[in-house]
Amino acid sequence: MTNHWIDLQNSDVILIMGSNAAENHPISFRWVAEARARGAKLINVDPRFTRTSSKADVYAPLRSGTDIAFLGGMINYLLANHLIQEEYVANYTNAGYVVAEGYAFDPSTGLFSGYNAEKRSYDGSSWVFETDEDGVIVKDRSLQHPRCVFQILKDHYSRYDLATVSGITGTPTELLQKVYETYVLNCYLPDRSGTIMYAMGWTQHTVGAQNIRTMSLIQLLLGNIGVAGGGVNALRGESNVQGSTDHCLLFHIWPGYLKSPQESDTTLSVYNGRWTPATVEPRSLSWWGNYPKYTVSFLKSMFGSAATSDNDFGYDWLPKRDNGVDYAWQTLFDAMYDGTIKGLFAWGQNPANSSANANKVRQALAKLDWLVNVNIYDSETAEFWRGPGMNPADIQTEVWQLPCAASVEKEGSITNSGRWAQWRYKAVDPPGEAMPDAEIMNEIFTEVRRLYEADGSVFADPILNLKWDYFGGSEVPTHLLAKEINGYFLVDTVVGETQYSAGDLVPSFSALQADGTTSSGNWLYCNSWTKEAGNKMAKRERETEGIGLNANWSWCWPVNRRIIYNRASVNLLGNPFKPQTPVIAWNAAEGKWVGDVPDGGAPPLNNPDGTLNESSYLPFIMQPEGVGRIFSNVYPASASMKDGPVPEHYEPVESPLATNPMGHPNRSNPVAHIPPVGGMDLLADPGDPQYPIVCSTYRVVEHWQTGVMTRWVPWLNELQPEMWVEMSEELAAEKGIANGERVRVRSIRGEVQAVAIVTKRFKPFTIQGETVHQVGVPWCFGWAAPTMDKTRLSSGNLLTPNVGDPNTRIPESKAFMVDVVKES
Amino acid sequence: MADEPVISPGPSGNGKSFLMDTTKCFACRSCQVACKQWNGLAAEEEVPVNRGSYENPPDLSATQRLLILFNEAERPDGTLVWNFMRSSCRHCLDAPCRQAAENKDAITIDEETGAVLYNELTAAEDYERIRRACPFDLPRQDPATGQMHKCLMCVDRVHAGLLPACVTACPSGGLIFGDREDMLAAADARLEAIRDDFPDAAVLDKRDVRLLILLGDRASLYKMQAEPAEAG
Repeated sequence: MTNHWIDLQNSDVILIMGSNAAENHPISFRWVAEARARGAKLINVDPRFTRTSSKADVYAPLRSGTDIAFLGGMINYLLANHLIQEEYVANYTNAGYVVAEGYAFDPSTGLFSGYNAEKRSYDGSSWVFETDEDGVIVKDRSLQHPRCVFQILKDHYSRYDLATVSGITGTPTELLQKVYETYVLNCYLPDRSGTIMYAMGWTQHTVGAQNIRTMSLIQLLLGNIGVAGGGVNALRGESNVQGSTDHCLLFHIWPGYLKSPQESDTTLSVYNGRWTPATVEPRSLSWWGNYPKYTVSFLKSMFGSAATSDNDFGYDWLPKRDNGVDYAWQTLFDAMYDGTIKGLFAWGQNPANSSANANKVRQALAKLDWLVNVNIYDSETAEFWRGPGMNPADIQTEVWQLPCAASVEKEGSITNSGRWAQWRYKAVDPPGEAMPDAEIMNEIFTEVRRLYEADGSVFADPILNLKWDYFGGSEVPTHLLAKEINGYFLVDTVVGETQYSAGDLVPSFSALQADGTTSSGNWLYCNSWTKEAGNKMAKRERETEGIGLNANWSWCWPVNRRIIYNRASVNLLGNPFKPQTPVIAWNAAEGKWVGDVPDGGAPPLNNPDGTLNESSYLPFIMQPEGVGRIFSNVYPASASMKDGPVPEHYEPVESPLATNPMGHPNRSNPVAHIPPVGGMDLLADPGDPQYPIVCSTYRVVEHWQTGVMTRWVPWLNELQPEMWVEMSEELAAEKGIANGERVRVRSIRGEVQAVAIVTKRFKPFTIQGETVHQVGVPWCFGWAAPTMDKTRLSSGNLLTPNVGDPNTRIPESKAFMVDVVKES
Repeated sequence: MADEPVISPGPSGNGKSFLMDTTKCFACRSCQVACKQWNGLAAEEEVPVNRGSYENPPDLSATQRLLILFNEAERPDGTLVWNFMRSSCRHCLDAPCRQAAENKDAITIDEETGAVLYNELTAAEDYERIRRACPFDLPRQDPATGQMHKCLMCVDRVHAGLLPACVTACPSGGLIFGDREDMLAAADARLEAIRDDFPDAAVLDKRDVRLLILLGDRASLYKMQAEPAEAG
């Protein structure tokens, strides 16, 4: 989230699209209700009428996988009617930046310039701005230049008229108009704000990242980023998934969103050079210019005194990715299936049910030499060897189960969607042999290190040099780990007027250095545990007046800034655009900002007399250009969108349509990740009559994720006892299916048994003049619990395809094709 | 947003009441689970089944004292609604079930809260007679002991200054509890606030019951009673 949960109360209009917040983030609705009590409108767009829809002022259905078309229509509406926040757009975005002549989008092919059909990828070197002789970007703040971003955008989205959009999404045109008006008219004025609550309904598509880009673009045009009640807000799917991402759960990053290196990054300086942008843009702070300070401090945290400038601070001891190869979830399981990866720790995970194309993943598990399952309950993953279609006698995988402590049985931090890191305490001892995860890791690592200490070990440096002094002392290990994450001064240092000694905690990431004199396990978490204030994550002071920032309740990254990009919440003079809920404001008398922690302390962009303040800088400090990217230009080159600088509608890889209704031959995303078809990687052909029905998966409020933790609870099971499929009354009539009847849902990859819920909450769509049905299935059920019944085919992911977004590799679980048949 | 309401322990003139606001409830059913957890009640079926609805278990019972009812319907203007209703003892002020009881000690009124309480003496009462006396058909009998059961307003918790378990669990703000005057005032204030969006809104039987239910739509758009069906 750019903002945070409580800040939802400050919105004038809330769009819930790509999420089902009432069911999957129920506590968020307390703040949605608060906003509504203050007069906000609630809009919900979803293929199915959900418990969220039941509370909305406006509900509109759309066919799964058509969000860019839907939102493209909104962009067209607000541009055609000039309902933009002009001061914001002109000064805080790249709308007026002139795009280089080499850039093009061809509406007749659906391709951007630089496409390589053979490699199915783009060379984005033309997605850049025109520069003057000094390398400074050419700008036209009047937004009139024919090649400026604003005009390109107008041109691009003029194709998304109501009739075109409706023909793609299946949303009636009058409802499209109603959603556009309700959202835009309630938030385009400077003193109004609108927000978006999205989740996996947007990400799990082959255009997932572009779905979110489309909304980001709308939010920039409406001046909604940085202000209270605005922003782009991802509702994270696990209580601590924000924290695990911050600390580099994913393959492409190191902690704090530093990039993971690849083999061609042969030295630390090559690597740092690739990711440290230089900018000649006036008044651009370009914060990533500090990149080397964060990488070196991270390496010092990893390897302690063994990391020196002579050995690149141990840079070579960390793994490098093969060039151009990803290590995404699906890639890893494909490698297990192919026999390349021999062992797996399934740690707090249930891949046998949570992975797209789960049948293949289950077969992959059967090819492992060993599998360690760390969880608080048994699962379909741990029991895969006796699951559906498996013969235990044929499976050689050795499986261990390690019971771990639940959240209330250990101490540590948890970071919520709003970036708040909250400390929590141990309430009870773990039962039986269960241990906290960190202690399990410590036992494993300690043994691994002992083995590496033997003579003749190959490349033992990373293991033997790892700084690992958190366990076995008098201090709680998680305290030591949290402090390490914050970071230390390693030599005596003076910051401002304060003297710090070697071994003192650093006060903020602005104190980090690239010379090895500081450490920090994650620069973003610097300031969370300081010498002056102790563990700020444990703070529990409720705000009594204000806009809900609650600055002294827990701590949030970066540096306790509750709303990021907040310098875009004020005008050029530093006065809040939305004065009734000011995030920050410039106090001219004292020469400082008041309110939230500002994105840097520089004074407003203009002096009181309206002249430029040369010592100020633009508000989007993480971008080398200093402004919000409506056009996703390529800089630095390797950090760009892989599928185009402006979002375009493409069909899901599996869809009912044989062509792209935008009138070009690229039906689906031309750079989507699609594994070679064959074996267990099957895809239904576009318009395949055997699989004529659009399907989506979803979560339910009654179960958690795959249900590993909830299917063991009889009270929850009786609320949602078994697999179902929801379908319209019209589809049920066509198929002769009665409510409550048992049916099978089939995709080309697998099938599930389900109870039919025949409902008014799904309605057939009219797409390109034809009737298209959609159904939906949850993915919280499985054969191992509540009854160990291997005849049960009940995980929604047995149906889903393992095609993925080119930027993130997330699978397209939210739009694929099935058929529904009566159980024979 | 205000803090959680705090219960003032000790007698208050008009006792306590719940206010369930269906315009806020989104049927997460935390209340249903919390009821069973606090009262130590088992799930209804060993292997529960889906009957073509989210609504489950299929009916109230001696161990199922709170059930959220789901109803899909269309308003006269054609817009779809999915409305949620709470089925549990309304704690009538005049308690017709008590009037129907032979032994008035079997069904009592808690002095402090006004809660209608059943005890083990109900085993000796005529179940059909008691059940028929309830205007909402809510009491249920334990077939093993003959004792009758229904929501007891968590009077054990309320006497200790705690909210009823269902209220504590509610994330939506759609279920609150407190002194009856405060709940009646909150209901009136809410009706006033939502009048434009919900012209048909009303509070059911507000003079007669302690479970005040605020409906956003006209009553015909809600399911008022569980309709148990055989498993499909």
